Amino acid sequence: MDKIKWQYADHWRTDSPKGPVNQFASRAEMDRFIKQIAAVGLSGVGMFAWNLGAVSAMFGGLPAYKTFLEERGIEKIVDLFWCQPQASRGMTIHDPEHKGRVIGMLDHFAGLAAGLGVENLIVMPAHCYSDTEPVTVDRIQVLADLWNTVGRMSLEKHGMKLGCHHEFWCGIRSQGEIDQFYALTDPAYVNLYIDTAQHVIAGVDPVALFRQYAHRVNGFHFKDTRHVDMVEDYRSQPDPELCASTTPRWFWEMGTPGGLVDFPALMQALKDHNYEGWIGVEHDKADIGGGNYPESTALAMWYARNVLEPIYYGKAAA
Amino acid sequence: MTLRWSYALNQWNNGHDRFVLREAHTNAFKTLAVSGFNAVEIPCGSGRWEPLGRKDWIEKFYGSVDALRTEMTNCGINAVSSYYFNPAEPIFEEGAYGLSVLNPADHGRILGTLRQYADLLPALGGDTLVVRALPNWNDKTTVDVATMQVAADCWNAVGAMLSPAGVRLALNFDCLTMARSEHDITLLVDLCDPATVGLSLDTADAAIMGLDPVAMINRFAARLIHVQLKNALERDTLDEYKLAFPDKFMLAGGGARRIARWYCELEHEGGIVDVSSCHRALVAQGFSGWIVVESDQSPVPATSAMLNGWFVKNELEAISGITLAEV
Repeated sequence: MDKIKWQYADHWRTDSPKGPVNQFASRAEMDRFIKQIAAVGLSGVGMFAWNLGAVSAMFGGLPAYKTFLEERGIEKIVDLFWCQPQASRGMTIHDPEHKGRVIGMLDHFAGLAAGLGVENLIVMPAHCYSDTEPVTVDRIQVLADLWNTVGRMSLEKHGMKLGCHHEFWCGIRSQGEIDQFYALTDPAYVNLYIDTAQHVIAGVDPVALFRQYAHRVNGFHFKDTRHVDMVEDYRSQPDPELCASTTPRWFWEMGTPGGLVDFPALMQALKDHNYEGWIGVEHDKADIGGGNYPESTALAMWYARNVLEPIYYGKAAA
Repeated sequence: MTLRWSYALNQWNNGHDRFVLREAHTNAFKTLAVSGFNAVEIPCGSGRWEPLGRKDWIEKFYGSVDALRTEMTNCGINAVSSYYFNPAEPIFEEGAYGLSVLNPADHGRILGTLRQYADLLPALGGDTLVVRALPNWNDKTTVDVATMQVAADCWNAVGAMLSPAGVRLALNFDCLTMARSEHDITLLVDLCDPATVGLSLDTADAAIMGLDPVAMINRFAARLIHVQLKNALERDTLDEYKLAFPDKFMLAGGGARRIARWYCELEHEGGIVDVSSCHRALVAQGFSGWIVVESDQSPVPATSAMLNGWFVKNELEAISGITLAEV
């Protein structure tokens, strides 16, 4: 049994005669997607929580989808992901009056996945930075209270560990804000889900972050970046991942030339701390500038199998 | 010796300047390696945009043939199983703009061009040179014994030249060739020396021509030394191989039916080749050459490689018991 397993985080889009399509367009597209990721050594998938409905409709229920995955070499859905980038009158997650809506919605999504063996419920713990400001200790306390409650519900009712995923444009993004947040949350219920590229862009070292919070880390998105945000691009609207002033493309596959994430050091840290479990491979907007998701995935998994696994397992590089 | 798997790089080389940079080569090698393939087939080529196609360009681009092999090995590719050569394509370095195996005056030049592969293939871990056996169909040339003897004279000479280096010559017949039937193919193959010249079967091209690739495998088992395994979506029911420049107007342009794509991945739901039956027949016949998976006209080469890798690992290996990792 492998101590680490690789799972793929949902983002996928390929060209078709009718323009770009993703895996949720049809069973045929899902079949092609799953076989491609299975072919290169991935054995789990992460999903956006809001896609559960489409998949359930496509297969006549989520258990049938799990069987479909297993028949193609994918063990299961590992993570559900949820975020609410913008605050709105109907949903402002740092508004204590909306706490019940957030909990109810996530309870609903987690309930849809009952019986599938999903391990983690992953959330962005704040809106985008501009919509979270002022990011004060009091506001972080409100968010901590929310996620303590959600984390308890998620674990005790649904068997899923809550993990908080900090986009570089999230309201909780800097080392100081992250430290405040984890100091105010319950280690039993609120975990850290490390996205390597997002932290580097925000000026946070993901290797040091993992070593600091290893006991609270419940997963990763491994992807790379070639840029650090030096000019407050994280404030760009409506989407800092698309509208930044300095780069049209933030995210790259592991092993990309010029990548700033020190994956070998991170893998050594995982080994040192006896991390066991899933590692997510993510490619967000991989097709910007002529790239494509399948090739990014193949290259990332080549890097994972030939560079990172030998570090973790103590074998000579292939 | 048992059957061995390889993958054709031509799906990446889908435009004259699309597969030039070393980064593109590396990405293709890594994509194939992680998809389970550890050997590749390379098209012979000419000029600055075909840096893998000839020994002199490899040396200019990589410094040496050994340097290319090192780069391949670092990516997980152990061998170049085969090169593919079409005499009709330009060879700029030699001032050739369309040689023909049916023209005895060209035979010496074809031999001269192909001599380099006797060194190149073993240096890259390979052993098979695949050649387009005959030109396109035309209304002035017939497939008869006299005409085939001219072609056989050339290929026998090439086979004899390559043999001391341990390289075998494989005659390939695509869907545009002047040989249109098993009978036509037999005529040429039977005139070639079985010790040095064998047959290469392209399963998709056979199907496009209206031939049965499983029957071909069984019919030519004794001469079959190389397979290009791929699927096809349509048959050439309008005989559009007779068009002028059929590689452009039929295969690329789609012909009168505007067919978007002739070739597809092995498991494609619209495929007209029963790939599993082809593989079963190869195993039953004790085939011991290269099976080169191909996906010409792939809109996303990585997708084709990954899907084909999944199908070989999960479907075909169960038939043969031969795993991708055994090259």
